[in-house]
Amino acid sequence: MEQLDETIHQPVRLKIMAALKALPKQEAIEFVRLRAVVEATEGNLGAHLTTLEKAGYVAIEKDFVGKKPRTRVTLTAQGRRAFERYVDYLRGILDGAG
Amino acid sequence: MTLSSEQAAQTLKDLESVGQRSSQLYRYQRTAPMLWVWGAIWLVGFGLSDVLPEHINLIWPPLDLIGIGACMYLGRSNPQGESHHSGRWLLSIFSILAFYVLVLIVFQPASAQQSASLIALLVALFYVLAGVWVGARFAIAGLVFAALTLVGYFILSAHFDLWMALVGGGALGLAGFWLRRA
Repeated sequence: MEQLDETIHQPVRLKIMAALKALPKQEAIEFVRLRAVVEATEGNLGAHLTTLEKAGYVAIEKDFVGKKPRTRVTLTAQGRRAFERYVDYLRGILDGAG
Repeated sequence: MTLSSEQAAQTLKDLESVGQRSSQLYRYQRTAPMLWVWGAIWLVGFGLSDVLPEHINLIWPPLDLIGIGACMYLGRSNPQGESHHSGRWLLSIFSILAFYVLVLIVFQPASAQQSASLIALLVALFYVLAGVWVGARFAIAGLVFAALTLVGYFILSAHFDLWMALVGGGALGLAGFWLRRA
């Protein structure tokens, strides 16, 4: 059986990955919306996104809409594959238990 | 680190739930501008129909084309991503329009109010069905559109076009903001 991906395994990061995986490929989600989906605080979400970005699993883009700052997050191809492997790992555990 | 089968099952369940929520909010967000477009079209179309009822056949076709074109544009995904959504929107809209025309043919003669009510109720049905499959806010919006249309048709028929312009168009616009803020 494959090793557990510790980067993704953390509960908030796992939720972030699941939220991003549910979007169409290369589609970004705004930080505030992602925060509502994963139910994390701003600081907590920011820290976990940085970890995922360093792992190459997400891409973070910052810009302005008018004078308002906007942060958008996208799942990278590497992140998508890592998440799929993680889900396969979980399913493998269930198959093994059956 | 290893997980038990119970932990794995619970994690998969949580992931599915988060994914559904994310997908639902994404669809709300993408649909909101379409409701604004159609809200504006209803406001202009029904408003002009109220003022110039003799030109109704000239008012609606260009407005419908604008609406369809706008929905295709808004329904498309980002350039790098999946690109089949605009086609699906087009097919969905044409399916509704084809059904609408066929019903009018079968049940003719239909008055202008009857045909306007029919298309409004079809749009409402579309949103109720979207609500069943995607998210409750679509269903609630669809039910409100249907109720407003029926109020206009049965209770305020003398001012039906004005009602549909201000209340129907306004409700579409407000529903767009409601979805956007979800």
